[in-house]
Amino acid sequence: MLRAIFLQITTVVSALCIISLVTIVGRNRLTELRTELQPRLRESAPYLAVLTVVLILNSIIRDYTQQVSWQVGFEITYLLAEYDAGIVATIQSFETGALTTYFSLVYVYGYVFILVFPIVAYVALSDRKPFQRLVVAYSLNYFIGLTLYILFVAYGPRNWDVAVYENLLYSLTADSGTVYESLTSEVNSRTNVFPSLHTSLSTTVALFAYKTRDAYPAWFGIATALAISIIISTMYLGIHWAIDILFGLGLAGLSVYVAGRYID
Amino acid sequence: MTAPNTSSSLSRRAVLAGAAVSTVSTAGCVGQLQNIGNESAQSQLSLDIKALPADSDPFGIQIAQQLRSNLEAVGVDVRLSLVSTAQFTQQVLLNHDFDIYVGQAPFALPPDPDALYPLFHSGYTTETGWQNPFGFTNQTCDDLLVAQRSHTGGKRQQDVRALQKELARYQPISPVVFPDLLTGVRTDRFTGWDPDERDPALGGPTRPHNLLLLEGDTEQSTLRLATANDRLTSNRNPISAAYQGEQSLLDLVYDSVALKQGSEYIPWLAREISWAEGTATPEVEIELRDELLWHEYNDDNKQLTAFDVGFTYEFLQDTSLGAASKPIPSERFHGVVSVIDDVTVENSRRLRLTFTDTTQAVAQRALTVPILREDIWEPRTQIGRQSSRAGPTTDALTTNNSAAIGSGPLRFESADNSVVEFSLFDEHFLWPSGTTQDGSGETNETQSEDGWLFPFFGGDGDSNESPTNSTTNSTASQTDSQLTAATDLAPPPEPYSGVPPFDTITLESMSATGVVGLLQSGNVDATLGPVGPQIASIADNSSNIELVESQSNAFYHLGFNTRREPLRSPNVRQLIAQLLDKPTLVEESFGGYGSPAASPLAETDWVANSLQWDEDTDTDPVVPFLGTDGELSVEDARDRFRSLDYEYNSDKELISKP
Repeated sequence: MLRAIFLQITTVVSALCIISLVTIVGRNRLTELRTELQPRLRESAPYLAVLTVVLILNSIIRDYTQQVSWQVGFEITYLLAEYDAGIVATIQSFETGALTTYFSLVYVYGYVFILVFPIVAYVALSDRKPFQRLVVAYSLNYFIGLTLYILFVAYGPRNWDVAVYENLLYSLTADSGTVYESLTSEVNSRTNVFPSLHTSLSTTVALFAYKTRDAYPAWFGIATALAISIIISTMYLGIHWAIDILFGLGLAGLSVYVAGRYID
Repeated sequence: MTAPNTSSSLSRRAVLAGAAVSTVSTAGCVGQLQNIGNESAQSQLSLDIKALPADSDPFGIQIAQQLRSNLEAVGVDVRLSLVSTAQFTQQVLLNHDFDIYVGQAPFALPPDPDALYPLFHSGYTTETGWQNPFGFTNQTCDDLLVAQRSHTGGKRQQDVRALQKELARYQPISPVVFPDLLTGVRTDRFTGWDPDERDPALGGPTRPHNLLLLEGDTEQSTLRLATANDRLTSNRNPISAAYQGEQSLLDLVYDSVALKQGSEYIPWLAREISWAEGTATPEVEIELRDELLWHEYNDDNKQLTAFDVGFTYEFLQDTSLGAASKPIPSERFHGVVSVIDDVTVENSRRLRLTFTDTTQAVAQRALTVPILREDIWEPRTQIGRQSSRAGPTTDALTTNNSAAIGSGPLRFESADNSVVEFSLFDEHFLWPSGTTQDGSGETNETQSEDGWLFPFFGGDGDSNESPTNSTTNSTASQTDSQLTAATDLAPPPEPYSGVPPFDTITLESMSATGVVGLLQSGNVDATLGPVGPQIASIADNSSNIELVESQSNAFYHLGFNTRREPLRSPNVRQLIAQLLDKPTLVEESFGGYGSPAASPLAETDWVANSLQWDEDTDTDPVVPFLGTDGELSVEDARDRFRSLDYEYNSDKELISKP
């Protein structure tokens, strides 16, 4: 079942990337890549190495973070619920079948697409800096996010109060709902809620899209709309609290700022 | 070994020691800081409530939320902490680091009243696991718990009733709801989930032993189950405090001497169980079956012998086997083995157990413990100290026992983060001719008619005529079985002799919502353990899915840590219990699938009359809700706190007593 969904995501995201490459990046840049790809990647190799290390680290310790977190971290679900001030409940009150489908698709496919596409798109730019900054910002997001996951143990709204919050992602249709649950439990633990990495990473991409709007004007619009959708989806689906979003936005801002300072 | 029978002064000291230990072990936590804060005279009373997240248990959290909002309404500063099942075990059951928890009792089927002994006897306050985690000490309760162990008939009934009333008055726990266990089953691959003739006391469709009775096309080789409890993916230790409760698939991995079947104990590993008559204290002679094998381990094919059984009883009483200055018993079975006085292994097939001053009704509970393989468990006597446990412990109690080598009908195969797989153990005594391998679809029932001339009718009927009161599987008369040595194998216990229509069982863990989705999409055949009430509408809308309701004794309750202020006071505990509207919870949170209750024995024949739920008034007989229809009368409740000498500050906050 899991292999099927991974395959499906790969197929859908690849298709989206190819369409966007042709329409957004354009033929000229892509032809240029044929000779330029290797030297560009070689030049950015140190940054890619860091990201790879962070991702490997992430996948190794993800299984242990929960255990470690319970030992050394702070249990803060009650604080997130208190300071949420009813925002998630308000967003969920707009529930319709169409919205649930839209937000579930955005949460699963849209998220992967928004992370993958700029990597390819920025390699296609003759200016190396956007690519290198993006890679550094991704690394920072993961690294700081993981640290916060260890420091804070928290559950999302759907675990806090079933009378108020609904588990909408998994209620979708039986089949895709459980498939999405297998997927999300495979890549993340239930207690890794604070902050929202969905929010911080997609906002990071949107901020870079703003900076590169001259090269890719269409991408700026698409990335912004997609990032906003992803952010709302995490609350609409009962996965994150408003506070998680707030800190996710902060993390995005910090990562983009630091990446810009580091590579100027 | 006898039960911890300490005098009241000693047990008080033990309690103090326990409290000191648990205080030390929580040092550094926020809870500790809060306690320090409370020492200033004007601080608000604060309480911590622990509950499982909705993914693991969709019901307990709703009880916790009602309690939280009503406690906040009366001016208490409440912190509701969500903890994983593993953390629940660790924080509540091992470290006693809690004020109030919302959880389920570790009973699936109606318990014998003696199950309350380790839960509430003051001698168990310094133990871990489901052994008086409340730190409850009450001399009257202690006396009644001891008395019911040695009384029979009407006298025992009196003891048990008086005990329930005492527990209701002192509220170390407050029973809230006995849930109906809802099991969703698919009928397109397997049938026989809910036979009409099944005694409700035998549990629901996914009670592990009931799975062996399923019917279906033998082509379907895998029985797929889904559960919201993921403990088996990481911990397969049958004797530790892990939050397995009863009815884990481990019950089919490990065999016991006898199997509790409704109110009877049928011989399982034993071919014959004979209770001596006329002795002052109970004595039992156990004769094992001849054809018992352990699951393969290091490629050997070892026999299970009476030495393993004898070892198990010694080991459960003290997992350090004498190496520790004070015995370190199994957290899970300390209560039932505490009545064993002596174990004598006569030969590889026979052993004798003698008991302390108790009755057969209590003593026979010891025959249901999982039998452990000596050469695997004997090396686990190493004593250690773990941060997760207050006192010294042994490897036996802390190991995850990942290989889970038992002798039962199921053999553990593999586990990853979410799926555990078991296979049918072909060489189990239930299927002596290895029918599962010939694949002809022929069941054992026909074979047993050929192989054994004397079908099993149940031993109880004949037992009165024999000199000893014995339960036996070899109903063949002595002479016959001596004449035909070839058919000397005791027939398997009925009704379990048929070969199940599967050779593999997979158990997938997911959220309680995800479990329902797996069933709906046809990825699993049945749900195991609690699922949300939405399963009912899903079953209504599908021709292949049925909903089976069964009685569960895993009642939801509030557990109070009576070591801590203000919960040391029974009046405060009663008052907190009165903040819950049990009938409204049943209707709104359980979708009507449950019954409000006032006694831990509410769903057994032992329930005290005065504690039976009054259908007419629909209120708790001892701790009635302070309000109507789920709506708390806040002023009444605040007045009740004032009457206990509590004060409110100008912000209407309840001030903790200095």
